[in-house]
Amino acid sequence: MQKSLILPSTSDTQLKQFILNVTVDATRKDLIHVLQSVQENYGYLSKESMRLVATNLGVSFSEVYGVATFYHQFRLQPPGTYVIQVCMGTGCHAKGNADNFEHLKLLLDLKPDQKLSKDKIFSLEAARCFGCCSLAPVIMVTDSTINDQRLFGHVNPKVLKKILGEYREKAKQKEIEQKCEMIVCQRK
Amino acid sequence: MRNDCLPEEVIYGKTGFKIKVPLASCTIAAGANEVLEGIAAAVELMGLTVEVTPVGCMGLDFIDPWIEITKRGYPSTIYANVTPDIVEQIIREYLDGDYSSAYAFRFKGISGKNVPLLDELDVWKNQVRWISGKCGIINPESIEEYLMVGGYKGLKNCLRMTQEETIEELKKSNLRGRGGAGFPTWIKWNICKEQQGDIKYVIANCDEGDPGAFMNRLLAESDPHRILEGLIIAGHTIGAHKGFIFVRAEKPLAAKRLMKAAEAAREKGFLGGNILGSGYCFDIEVFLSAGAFVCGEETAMIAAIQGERANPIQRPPFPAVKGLWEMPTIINNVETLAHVATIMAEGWEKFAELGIEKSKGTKMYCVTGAVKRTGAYEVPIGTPIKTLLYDLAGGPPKDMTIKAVQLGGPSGGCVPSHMFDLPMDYDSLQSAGAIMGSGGMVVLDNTNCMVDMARFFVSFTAAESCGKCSVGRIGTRLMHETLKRIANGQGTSDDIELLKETSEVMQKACLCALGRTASNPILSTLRYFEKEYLDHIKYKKCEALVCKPLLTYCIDPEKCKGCLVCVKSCPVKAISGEKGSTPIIDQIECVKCGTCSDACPFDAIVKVPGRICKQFLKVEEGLCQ
Repeated sequence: MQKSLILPSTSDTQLKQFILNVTVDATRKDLIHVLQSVQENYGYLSKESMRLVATNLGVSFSEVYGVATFYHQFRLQPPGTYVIQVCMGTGCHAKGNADNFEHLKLLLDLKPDQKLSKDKIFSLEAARCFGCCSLAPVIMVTDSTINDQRLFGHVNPKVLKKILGEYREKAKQKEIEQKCEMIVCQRK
Repeated sequence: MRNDCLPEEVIYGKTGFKIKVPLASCTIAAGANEVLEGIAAAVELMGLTVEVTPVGCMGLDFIDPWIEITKRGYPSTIYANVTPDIVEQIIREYLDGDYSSAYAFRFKGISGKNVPLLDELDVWKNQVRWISGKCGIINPESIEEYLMVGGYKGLKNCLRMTQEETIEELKKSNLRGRGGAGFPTWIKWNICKEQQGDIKYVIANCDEGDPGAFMNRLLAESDPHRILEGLIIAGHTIGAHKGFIFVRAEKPLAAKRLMKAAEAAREKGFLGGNILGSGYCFDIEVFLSAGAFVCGEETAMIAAIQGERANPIQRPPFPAVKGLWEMPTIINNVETLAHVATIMAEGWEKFAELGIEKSKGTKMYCVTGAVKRTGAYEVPIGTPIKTLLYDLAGGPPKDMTIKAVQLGGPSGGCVPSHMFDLPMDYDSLQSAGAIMGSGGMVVLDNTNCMVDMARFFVSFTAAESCGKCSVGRIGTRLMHETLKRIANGQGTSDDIELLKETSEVMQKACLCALGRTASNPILSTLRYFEKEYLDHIKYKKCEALVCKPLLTYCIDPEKCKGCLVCVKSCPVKAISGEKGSTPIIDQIECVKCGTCSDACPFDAIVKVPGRICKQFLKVEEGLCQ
């Protein structure tokens, strides 16, 4: 389980408190900003959180949902530990990033509409331009637990396999560390 | 040229010995942070007294990450493609007076050994760095350095003038908006100035939704104060007291630098109440956009700032009359604002010397794709495409030929290689079926299929269409479906007619520019590359080997050594065979992912144009003709 991603069911009050904090001085015009803060903290916008935002700002749920689905930045599904964003800008497309995207889908064993891998380590997204066209084709990997972003340039299937391997290894180590921590906690 | 007229402190630092490391998104991605750590370690190891300063990006992306070493009495030298492990060696060599490192450029100054002068290189001498001149030279997070190189001089001049005088200055300079449409800046400002009322707004557009362009990000990351200065001048001229900078949240570094710049400007009295004792009040807010291409449309951007879905509305009334919260608003691209700041500082005469009769000044272009030297270059308006692609960007990489260049992103079009003498200005490009747009240039070579490019752009606009007007919503969808059909080899001869007809309707009936220009990529590719469309439709063939359904993977038995690497690599188990003999690709199972071709150590797996009829195909032979 990731540390900073809090499950709504277990910490309902925490979510309520958080949304109260970010909406305290906010009005209707700050909606995008509020949603951005929620996503930054929770990794995605759950239905529950959007409902709370709507009530606190005094707008309807559909309005909040409408804004959340309009912009690319907002995610309505929980992301994996590592979010892989494949740049779909013109420069990257011309250098074959569409193939890389398909390849990643195969490597992660994802169905056409599926974004999250089965082990929940990776989620795959297509992104608009990162503005690093000189390194095309590029992918960005974001560690959603610590919000650390890394950009990889000049990727090809071989490099992708290596990158995925590295991150899998990382995820494994994290899991081991967390297990150890738990054991230590239990002993205490 | 680069280091001319710069104060000593900016060049050499306080200690007389300075190392500059570019920290912008592009250089960080190329490993500049690691280089910075490497330098810190090397400096400590060697016990040097040296100032290590982060700077912005100077647009020469092919040399990322670079470092610049300057020491009094030594020639300033730029080292390209630096890695952390060679930093120490580079510094030692520099101090020993040996400038022969493989990648060193040098500036004008003391003569050294055979290192080319940057000012004499094609990539530098053909540029006129009017607004980007300080990018990569000053520390973007230091307002002191910006002031040292003449920053906020334009604002000071502006505050001494009346609003009419500022507009007159811009009118004489003949500056046109750099966001794409090329509307004269002074007219827009004048309309807004004439409006009654105390509440007006100015917005700097740094959204840069156009995929393939990054000059706005580069400017915001490397010289944010110039944008700020332009925005304050705009505010003063139209009589606004509040400004917004609209930045995409996907460009966090640009947003961070702009916020930092605003904070520093506030401290120094360039923002806030009573700016520089003139009695004029103005403040700004950096608005983080959640990302939508349609925000490039003025009315949609206004809706986004108001916290709504970014749906465009009918114009007129134009935002200059009735914009943000129903108040007069001007929206300018950040590049335009940077031009304004520079014009007000240097005077319109210098600006008007550049460019051509109808459009003055310079424009930044981002050249990416099939060229040797990708990067952002600033040249006078009217420079031929050829100069930019061959002299600056170095032409195509080895064994490639340039087929066309795509200008202006999803609203623009292609210009084929035989028209590369075309000067780049608003009108010439328009007549060729392209637009200047924000200045993104994607160079396409023989490995790019024009049908696929058109399909790509239309899939982009279809996804980005806000869905408000039915012509835009259904039109983009229809064009996308048709192009998908053609690219899949299911196109019919009526499809081209259908595309043309849909385009015509959309150009006339769409609510906003996104829809009206969405068909440009199709029309321009149809105009210059109709043969490729016909190849796809009639002969079911994609010469560029891009459209998957129209190509086949085959194993060349002459090259194949029977190592079975491909068999193991295939993710769908479509290849079978025994060691020592040529394996067979089951064309029915094959998903054409290309994994086998990448895995093959002997390059024996090749793509061939044309598809194979599935009933006819019996997987008996390895090589399919």
